[in-house]
Amino acid sequence: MTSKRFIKVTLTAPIIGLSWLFFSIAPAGAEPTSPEALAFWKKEAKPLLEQSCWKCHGAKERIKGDLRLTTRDGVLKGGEIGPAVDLEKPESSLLLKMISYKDEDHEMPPLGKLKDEEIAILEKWIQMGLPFDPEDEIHGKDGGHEETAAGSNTQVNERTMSHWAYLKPERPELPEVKDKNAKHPIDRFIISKLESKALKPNPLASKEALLRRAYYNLIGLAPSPDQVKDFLSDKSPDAYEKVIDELLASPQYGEKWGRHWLDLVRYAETNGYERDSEKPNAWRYRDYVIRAFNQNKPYDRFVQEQLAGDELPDKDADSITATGFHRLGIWDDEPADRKLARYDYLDDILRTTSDVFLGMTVGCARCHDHKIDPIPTKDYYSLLSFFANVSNHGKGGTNLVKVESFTGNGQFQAQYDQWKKREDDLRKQLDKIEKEFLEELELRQPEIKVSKPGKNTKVKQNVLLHDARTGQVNWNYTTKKPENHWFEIAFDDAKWETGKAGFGAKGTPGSIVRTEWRTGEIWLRTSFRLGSVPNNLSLNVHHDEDVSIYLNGKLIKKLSGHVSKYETHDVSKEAADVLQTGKNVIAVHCRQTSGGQYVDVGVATSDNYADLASLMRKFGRDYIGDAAVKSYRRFEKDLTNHSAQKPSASKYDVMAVAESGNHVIKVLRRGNPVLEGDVVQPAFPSVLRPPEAIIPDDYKTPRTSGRRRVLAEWITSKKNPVSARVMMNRVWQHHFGRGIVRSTSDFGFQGVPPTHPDLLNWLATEFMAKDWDIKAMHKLIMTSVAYQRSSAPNKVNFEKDPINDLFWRFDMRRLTAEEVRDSVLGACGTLNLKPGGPSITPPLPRIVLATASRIGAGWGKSSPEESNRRSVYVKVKRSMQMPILINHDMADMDTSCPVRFATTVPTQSLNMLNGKFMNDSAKLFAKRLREEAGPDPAAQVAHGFKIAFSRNPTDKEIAAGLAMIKDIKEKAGISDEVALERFALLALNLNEFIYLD
Amino acid sequence: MKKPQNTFCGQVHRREFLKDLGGGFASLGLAGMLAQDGFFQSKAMAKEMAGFVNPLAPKDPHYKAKAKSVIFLFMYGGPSHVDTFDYKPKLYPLDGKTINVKTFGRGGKRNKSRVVGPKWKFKEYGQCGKLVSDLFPNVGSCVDDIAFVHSMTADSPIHGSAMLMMNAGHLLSGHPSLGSWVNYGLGSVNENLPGYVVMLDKTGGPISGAKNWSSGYMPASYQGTVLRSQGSPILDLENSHGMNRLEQRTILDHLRNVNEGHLSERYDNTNLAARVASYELAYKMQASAPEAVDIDKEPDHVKKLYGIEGSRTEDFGRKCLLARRMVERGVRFVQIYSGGNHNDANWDAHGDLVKNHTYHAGNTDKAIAGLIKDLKQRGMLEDTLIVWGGEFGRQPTAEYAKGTGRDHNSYGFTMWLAGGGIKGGISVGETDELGAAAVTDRFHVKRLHATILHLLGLDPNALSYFYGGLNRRLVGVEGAEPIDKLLA
Repeated sequence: MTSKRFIKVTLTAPIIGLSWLFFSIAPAGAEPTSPEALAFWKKEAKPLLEQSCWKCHGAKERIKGDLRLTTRDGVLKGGEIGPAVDLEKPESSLLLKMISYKDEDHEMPPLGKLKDEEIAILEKWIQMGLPFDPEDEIHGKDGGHEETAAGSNTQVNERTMSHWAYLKPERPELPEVKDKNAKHPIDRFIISKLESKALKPNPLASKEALLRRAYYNLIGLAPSPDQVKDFLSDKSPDAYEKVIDELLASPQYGEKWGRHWLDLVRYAETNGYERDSEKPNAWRYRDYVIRAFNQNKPYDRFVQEQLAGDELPDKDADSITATGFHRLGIWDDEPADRKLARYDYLDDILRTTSDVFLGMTVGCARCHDHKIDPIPTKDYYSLLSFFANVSNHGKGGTNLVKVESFTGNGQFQAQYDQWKKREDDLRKQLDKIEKEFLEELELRQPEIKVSKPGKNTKVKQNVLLHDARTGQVNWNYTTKKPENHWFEIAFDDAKWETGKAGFGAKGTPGSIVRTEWRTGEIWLRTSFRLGSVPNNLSLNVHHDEDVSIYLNGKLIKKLSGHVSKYETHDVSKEAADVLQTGKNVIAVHCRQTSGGQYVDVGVATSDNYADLASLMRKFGRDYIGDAAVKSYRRFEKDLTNHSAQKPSASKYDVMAVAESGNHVIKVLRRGNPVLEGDVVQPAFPSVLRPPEAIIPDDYKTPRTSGRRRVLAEWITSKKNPVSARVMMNRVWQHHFGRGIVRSTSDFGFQGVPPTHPDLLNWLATEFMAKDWDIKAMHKLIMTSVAYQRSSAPNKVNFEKDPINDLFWRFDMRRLTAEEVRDSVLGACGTLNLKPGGPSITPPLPRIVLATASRIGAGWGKSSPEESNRRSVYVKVKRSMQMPILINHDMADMDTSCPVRFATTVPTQSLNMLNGKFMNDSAKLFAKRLREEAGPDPAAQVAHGFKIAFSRNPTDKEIAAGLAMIKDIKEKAGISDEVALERFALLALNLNEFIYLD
Repeated sequence: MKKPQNTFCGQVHRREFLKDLGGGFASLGLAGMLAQDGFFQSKAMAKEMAGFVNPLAPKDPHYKAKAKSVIFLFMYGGPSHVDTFDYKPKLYPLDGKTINVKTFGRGGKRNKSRVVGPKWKFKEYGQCGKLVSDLFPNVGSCVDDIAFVHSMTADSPIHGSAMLMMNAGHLLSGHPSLGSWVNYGLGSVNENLPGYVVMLDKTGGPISGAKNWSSGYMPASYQGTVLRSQGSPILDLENSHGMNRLEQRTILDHLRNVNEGHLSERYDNTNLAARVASYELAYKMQASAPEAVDIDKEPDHVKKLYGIEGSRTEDFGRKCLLARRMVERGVRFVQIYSGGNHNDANWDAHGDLVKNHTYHAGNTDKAIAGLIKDLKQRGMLEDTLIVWGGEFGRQPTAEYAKGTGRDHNSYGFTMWLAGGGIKGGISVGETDELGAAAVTDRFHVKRLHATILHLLGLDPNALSYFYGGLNRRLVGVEGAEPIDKLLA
């Protein structure tokens, strides 16, 4: 039993290390070739090695860790971590360290520790100088990993550096073609290839098909019947161009093209793993992307903002929001190995960066040199160095950064409405309980209203509204002149900012500044609650300078000039006719002309009076019961907390990158954090013949190293050989359904070569010549004839070029997951085009909710109206997704997704035909047909065609539709109404609805 | 040996890749099959349809398979090996003593802890005389068909990553699960049922939910389908608005007609045809799935065998019986979760070990034994592989100052396999005398995965999928060999 040994180890002091004693007692080594040494080899060492080591290290084709122990040279040369045996210092040999099991990360053989006597044999073998009978040696191909066939491409040398993808794109001449009609530059390239293969391309698509194509392509939605009609009747030569311009200007454009980008950057709003916890405010990154596309932000700036928006000299709220890019990946909040997890986190950022911006799979070089492309491990860690100081991801709001901007906050209204609703709810609840309490109070102690001088002769102030000296009170305030009735009770000040009193500039004598105010004027409002009306009232005021104070709409005090401490003013007379039980509103206006500024107002009474809160404390339980008082207190507390969270029109939190420390990156052998190698400096992938990566001193910011800015600027430099081509290929991909390089994130040796390399180079140079103008490139591509061709079959061409490498036609495509869902909502007429804001969570069936460990956790319940918003706004929760989206191959966002699948499986059909969403939608679609087309069934059918397929039906199709409805009705014995719903469902299931020509 | 499938890495396979991405990874085999059935009216069209491969169409294994299907009984939360199948006589007398022992669990790494002696007695069972604790008397009666692996190791003692490791071979999220690999490698022989089904505990899914049966970077067609043991078994199998079957057939007929008209002008687009076919398959699935899950038709003695008799064993018993019926109908991979939600709703016995394990073992023991016996009496055990275990085991020592709760242990734990080419009545590997860590024949989770793939006729080191610049494998770039000692 080996366990005996173990128990000794575990139960007593460290016994490990005892085996080292063998060194002193082992016989000093004779020559390794001596007969006795060889005999020892044959009898002891070899059988042991054969049994325990050789299987993975030399006896089989597959060699682990590049370590060959089946030859003496192999042992001395060692593997990935270094020589197995050091004959100079035998006792420090790596092999002995491994078999000693002293280090958890280095235990060999993996199946279990060798017996002590076996370890002794190997120690002796090494001590003897490695006797090894050459006859026993097993040789083989070393460097023994797979894909050796491609191995010749893994060195950075002149040949691999001239791989097409690594060379700076040169602008090619437009090819001469026979077809004199081919004028568009893109068509010159396409036609040239087609002519060389003697393929005759398809004619133009019909106007209807083209319009539908352009709409889905640019905004992800179908054109409405009216839009189709307008286009068909527009006979002007630039009718199509006008449509492109309109669509590019539409806010829906960013929602469609932003989604393509979100796929690339692994956009998700939760972290994955056990808790799949929220990434607070991740949606702001999504809105940033949508906004960037809509604003046609130049691609170079777009990339710079995402990689280094916090380091740019002209950083703003959007550029900081953009750095959320770093935070979108999976994150294990409870990793088994923290050191490794740290590198996993950085690896995710590096992979996304290199895949997305460079089209290079640098991530594959983490553990060893890239096995296919010329990317050494050193290049991986050099690239990683740019991100070395990115701070750890954290729980909750760790990654939030406050930014200030109006432009980035188009969602204010939505948030504000949400906030206000809650505030109103809480106030209503409070009012209800107060009312009940006050009625009881009135009934039981009517005298409490009457003034009753206290026994205590000393006048004691009862605070009704704290000033800054005694409490923290929230006021709503504005520094812009409000409407005239700003001091009235009913005035809605909710859109003002909220801040704690006092207001002013620090340093003003006697002030306690909690909210900075530096402008000329300020208007403030707050309220206090009364359980009964006191007989006297005083104000505690500090002002610099003139101040006017209103109570419930009445001016009760005016003070001029400035004071340097709080002063008390009796306002009993002025207030007598406006004081009321319940809510009382105090409104203050202060104006200053020079010097320091400050204003704060408190309210008190010397009456032996108790404010509502203390009355409630005193009598509440008796009058309205314990539960009600508890609720009251809870609501009060909630309201205080809630008021403090009032959304601000200009300030908000975004998920952003941050840096901490100054970390050195070392090459990690086998990607193992404990196997640290040489220190590396930030550097760009060597195969691209890059400039040296120098971090200028003035790129450093108070909080960051400036490294990411250097990386971003290199990527977006017009000298960068890969960036423009990679992005143009993606733009092309989403116009034509596939890239000119089909493997759009892998331009390496195993990527799919470009079908039109010259065209791609031309597009890349054009893109840069146009200063990275994406919308201009859309228009350029869409105005080519190639884009406008019909998708119809052609037998001759199909035989020669079945996968349409040459673009002889336009490839049909299935709608994306988002387009499917949005189109269904569109057909119903219920699609809610409200843009931006926190994500929505439309209803999910229970069977889906029950897949979570806490059933339905993290998936809220959006209102029906919210649920009808576009799919780009559906929450991307890593562990839970909507069936209709997942069934139609929405991207899995654990890693970057450059190309989506388009699978066809029966579960899709089940969902489309039986699912609740689809059947509810069919009902709504039918209702719309009845409402918009009137009672005539033929008109209903025709209208259905126009909505669902963006075209006018033929008479034959209408007749067929009517026959269908009749047939369903008769066979199923259902009403006209239901029959139309079935027809609607059928339409939404048709290939013509789901596939684009 | 066959080359690994779908590697656009190998130049030869590039075309295959092209089909997979963007252009439609269509299940054209569906169309192909239906074309052969004379489903398509036009002969020319049928001809166009032939010759394409459904992602889920049956594929040949790399070599002759021992097992056709896998039933993975996932004891979520991590059952304690020293209290179930890994007998540690020397642990009993140490109860309450604080000793030096290296552990790593939820509570971090420790060198010293208080021993919790095993709480159950062990008895000898079967010809092989295997010692099994009183928690599993029924499983005990099956030990001659079971091979125990006592020396499992995993990379993480934390549920989140450990679940992903056991299900998908990696600590990081985003990789395809074992069932996805099996469906990718072998396809499904019954197109009327999903090829990979998952049955969850009624208290909820395991942590990370659907990530545990995700197809990761592979197409969604390979992901697991959640199967309910009661009510409508699969999402949207029944029409949500109560449409009856005749009505549905009528609609489908019209759908097909219109689609065919559409297709006739686009006859070379196989994706369209596949979509037409998928509706017919869905229709067939609607007919066959309810039959497949209708266990009421099973005779009483069979139900009794699984413990379906209104008692606490009924729930897991139904699932086990369903698993048999699924396998019978060609489903490749069935996973059943014992335990869901958090804490004591699963095997995660941090507090009261006795209460926790008595509950979960009591719910499952009879059903599991019933499954083995039922498969055996039907001659199905020889080609059905059963795998039992959790994402890790538990420590021999206490987590807290008081109580019997044990923390997680990935240094050493037990899993067992039965049927499908497994040698019965054996135990391989050992933990130390405390059960704290595997010491002899340590087998990493990857070795278990390699064994499962191997028994299904798939070479674990050849089954690969090209993604992100690399040929990915379930067993990782380093590869892993099956555990020879387990093979019959």
